[in-house]
Amino acid sequence: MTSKTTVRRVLSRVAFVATFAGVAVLVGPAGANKTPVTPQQLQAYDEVFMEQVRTGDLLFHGDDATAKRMGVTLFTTGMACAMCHPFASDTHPQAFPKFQVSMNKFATLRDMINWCIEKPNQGEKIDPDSDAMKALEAYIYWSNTGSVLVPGKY
Amino acid sequence: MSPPADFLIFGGDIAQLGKIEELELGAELLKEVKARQVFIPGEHDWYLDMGKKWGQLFGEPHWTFDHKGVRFIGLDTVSRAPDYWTVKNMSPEERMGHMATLDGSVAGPWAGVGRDQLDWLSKTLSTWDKSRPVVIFSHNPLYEYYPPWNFWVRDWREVNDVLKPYANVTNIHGHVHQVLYNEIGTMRSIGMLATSWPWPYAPEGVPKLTKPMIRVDPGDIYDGVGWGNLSMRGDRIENEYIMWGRKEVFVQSGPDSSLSQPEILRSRIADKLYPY
Repeated sequence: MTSKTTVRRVLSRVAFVATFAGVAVLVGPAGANKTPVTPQQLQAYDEVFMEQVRTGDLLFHGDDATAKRMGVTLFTTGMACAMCHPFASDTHPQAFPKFQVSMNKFATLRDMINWCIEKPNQGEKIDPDSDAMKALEAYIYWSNTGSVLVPGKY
Repeated sequence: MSPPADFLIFGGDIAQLGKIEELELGAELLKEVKARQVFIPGEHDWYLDMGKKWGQLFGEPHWTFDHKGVRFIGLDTVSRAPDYWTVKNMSPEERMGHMATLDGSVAGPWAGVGRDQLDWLSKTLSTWDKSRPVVIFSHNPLYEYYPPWNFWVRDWREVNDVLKPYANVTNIHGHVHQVLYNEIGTMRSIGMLATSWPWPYAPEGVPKLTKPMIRVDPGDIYDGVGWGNLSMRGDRIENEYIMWGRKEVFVQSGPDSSLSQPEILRSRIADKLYPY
């Protein structure tokens, strides 16, 4: 094979890719669900998330009205989650899932939240798929935005 | 204790929500201690009735006395919070609730010494030989560690200006619920353990001179908490941390430290919204 042939082949590949990209840009996404996201949609998605964060913040800080509304008893000791974890510090959501020594098992963040509710806080475990759990999880993750993922780290 | 303690200092927060029964229970429990007792207030003691009951039980919130060649000073770093309650028509319970939330934003930078007390401190020290030891007890640390949790006093620069001429100053403080050590100029700072529960180290600002405490077991209510045995050796004060839950107080290797897991944290959001 001559070097001339190789150059020609490379050029033809480049031309093909360029043509394909051009067509994709001109024609655009085929399905309705692939239309560009609007600022209004982004705001709506964010509002759904932040509502969960706010609810989780209130639960995490021992707000009685929120706990009552959601039907959960997260503590009976007078200790809210935030009293040991201000700003959700030392919760390390970025390290889950991991082997959790206190439970002697491979655990998720939801397992850990329930362990804290049940053991130190002496509250009642909540359904891992419940709204309260999702809100707590949302708040803890949001608060740790920026922490680097280190799954499995002790 | 052997030898018996010269006196007991309680560094504040004998109550959680400033209730009369909490303050009275604390005083009652401490009656068993026969040594002389001195007290300074913590924010949890103060903001239900603005220090009324605390004052009845424990006296003036700032004081000084000389003992065995040392000038001891107790400072009140909690009672001068900017008024965050009147304009919002808060009940005393609401005011206390915000003050009792360490990571809350509503009570703001409440920790401070205040100009009046700085003048008093200056006057108190003016009769003291600048080379002789001074020990200052305060609830909050007298330097800037982590303002969002009021791990400071907002006028710490002015405090340090007053103390600068004195060659041997030690600040013993509470509030941080953790092993903590720092030096600024001629002032050494020693943080005491809590008897309630430990706080994690703040995500930033931990003094480089601090040898961190061991990671605490949240399943053991006696872990990470306790008291300290402070001794004056020559002109230098030494502290021995005594944890109820374990003998090893300091981290021996990286994984034993919560600081080995770096965090980047956001402040709260829910208490920035109406009705707060």
